[in-house]
Amino acid sequence: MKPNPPNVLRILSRLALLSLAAAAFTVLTALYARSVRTPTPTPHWRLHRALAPKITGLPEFFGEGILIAVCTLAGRLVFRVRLSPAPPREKLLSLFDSTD
Amino acid sequence: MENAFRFQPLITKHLRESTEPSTGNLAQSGPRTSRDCTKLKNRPHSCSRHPPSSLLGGTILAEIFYGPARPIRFPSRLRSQTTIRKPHRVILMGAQTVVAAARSLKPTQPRLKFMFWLDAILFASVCALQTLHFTGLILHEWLGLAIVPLILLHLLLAWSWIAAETRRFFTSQSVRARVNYLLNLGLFAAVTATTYSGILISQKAIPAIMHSTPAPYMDWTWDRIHTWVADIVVILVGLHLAVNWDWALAAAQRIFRRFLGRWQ
Repeated sequence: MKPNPPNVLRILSRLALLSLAAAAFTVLTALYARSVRTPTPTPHWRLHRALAPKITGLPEFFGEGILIAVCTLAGRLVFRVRLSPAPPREKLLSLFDSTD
Repeated sequence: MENAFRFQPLITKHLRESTEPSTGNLAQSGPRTSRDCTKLKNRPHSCSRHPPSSLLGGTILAEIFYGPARPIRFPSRLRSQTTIRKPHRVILMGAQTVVAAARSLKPTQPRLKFMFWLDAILFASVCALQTLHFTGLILHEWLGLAIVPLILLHLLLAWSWIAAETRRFFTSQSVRARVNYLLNLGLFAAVTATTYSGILISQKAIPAIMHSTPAPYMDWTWDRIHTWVADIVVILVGLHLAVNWDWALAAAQRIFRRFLGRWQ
């Protein structure tokens, strides 16, 4: 199967645009990092960074999921209540309307 | 006064042409003639009545159109190849958008499935990356690098939305759409900053790729930036999910319909 050259070019140009935007944000981050000064850490900071995975940290993983879910819930409340009224239920039900 | 009435159609036409985007005008009102359609031929997916053949290729489930929902009249030769359903006004990428669902003879499910599982993997990866205690430093660094192409893929798949919203941002745009755009831009910036700072403080992955020895001391400033920007990423991911909740829910319902049916 031959790749379609215009499609490849289009994808490459989009990737280039994304890279350009990312480079701009990187420069801004570097400028910020140069402007701030952080106190040096205690020598024990390495103890908190184990190299191998630990199964005991699994609850933390689910905790992060719950944290994101809480942010999502908060966002749902803000976006639906403050920015626009909730769409009618019929519209939501028409999402990906079944084909039959 | 009389002159004003006489020239009103011309003024209206001029205003419409000068204020609206080049394709938005036609796409919103819908091309009335074949000449209108020709004007849109270089801008695929803009014409709601005469969609390009790529829409019918079977790989695209839904296309974003600029205008309100209108009945689609396909040429007869295309009608025989495709099953057309009426367009719907749905919440897509956080903004109310008109989506015309064209169901080809080829199944459209794989693309939706792919997008859904890609997003699910990204979600799980963000959770895992935040728990360094669980993953360990080596897995954390490699996972952080592996997530970059997935994010790029996610952005490429949402490119039509990005392009349309960027074009519309400075013109007429609802508050919700503007907030959604800025939210996504902020998320992109935060992910970029996290990745860049992560590369700079990498102790295992980057030295392994570059065949170099890791720095004996870590730049503490970059470490702090990496940590707090990652916290911002978590919050923004939650908000991003909130804005796109309708899409995620609908996609999940469609993908798991088969399983849900068995249980019912």
